[in-house]
Amino acid sequence: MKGISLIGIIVVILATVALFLWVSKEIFNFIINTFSQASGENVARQLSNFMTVSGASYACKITYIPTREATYNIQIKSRILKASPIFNVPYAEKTSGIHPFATNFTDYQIKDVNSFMIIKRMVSGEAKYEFSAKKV
Amino acid sequence: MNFRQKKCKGLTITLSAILEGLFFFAIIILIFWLLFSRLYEVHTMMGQVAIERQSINLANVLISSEKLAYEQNGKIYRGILDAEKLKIFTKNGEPTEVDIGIGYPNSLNVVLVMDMETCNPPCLVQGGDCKNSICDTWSAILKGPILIEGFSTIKFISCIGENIKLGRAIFVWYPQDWEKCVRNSLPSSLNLIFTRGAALSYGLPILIRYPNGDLHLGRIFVGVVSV
Repeated sequence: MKGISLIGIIVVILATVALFLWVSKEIFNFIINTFSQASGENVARQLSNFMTVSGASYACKITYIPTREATYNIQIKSRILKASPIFNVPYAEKTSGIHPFATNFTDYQIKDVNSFMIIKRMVSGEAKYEFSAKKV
Repeated sequence: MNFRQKKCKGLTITLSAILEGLFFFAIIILIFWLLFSRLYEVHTMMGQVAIERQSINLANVLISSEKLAYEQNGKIYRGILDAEKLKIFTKNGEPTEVDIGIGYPNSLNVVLVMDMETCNPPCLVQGGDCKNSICDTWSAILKGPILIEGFSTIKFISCIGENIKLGRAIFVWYPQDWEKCVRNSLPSSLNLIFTRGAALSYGLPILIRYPNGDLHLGRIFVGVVSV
């Protein structure tokens, strides 16, 4: 009986460790997928690229929502965009992403947003760029 | 040992097993909590050649820009550059600094437009390899906001000028000359953190429209050197 009980305990421990490893893998995958899309670095990079390539069209309207689970503080100054994420979970990286762009957007600053809109239009033969953001 | 005692013993073992199991479960929860609240932080790192990507983006913006592209009846012809509008660039010479509202900040945005139908010896028949040909070129350094103190665009331009032979866009093919020129233009404190520049290696194909309506095959090369 003692031997069976020991084997039972070992089986339970092994099963728990296996479950722990499987659950960890799923959780880590979820976290990495989520944060690779929602990190400040990625959002700054995507936004600055959208802002630059908007200049390659005659007129365009780009809407970008990186995630609905987090929000960002955005600062645009001297053709440099800074995105600082606000995450509710402790394990998320809080580092801001800073990226340059090449088109003539005016300086702008907004807090706690996660939906971004980039508009380019031609007004009297001149390119006009607009950036706006809101929380969804 | 009677029947009742045996029953109690079984109950004790079960209770103890449940308590052990709960204890073990609590330890796992504690490990998870410690891991995610204290020890674990997700850092994202993305691998890409940022400068090359910036060069490609900038070239795409330039070939669509109303400042350079050919326009007719309010329509902008993407990829067709107007020779008249290219007059803001320097023809066959040292590039000058130009502000057309396009260009990366804290960077040297070097643009060169080459008319490949004017090359001598002709290079279109060699598959567009114009390294050894002399062609008509228009070049400029696009002005973006410079927030770095002590950085001298003028020094860079004169250094690049030394590397350009008239009518020969040789500097496009030798980005190491750029690197040398950027290093000369930077204050010594910044030399160590200089980001390597990259030229859009083979340029984007374009057409150049002359006032008489002629269309020539050409290429636009864009180099971004970030400081």
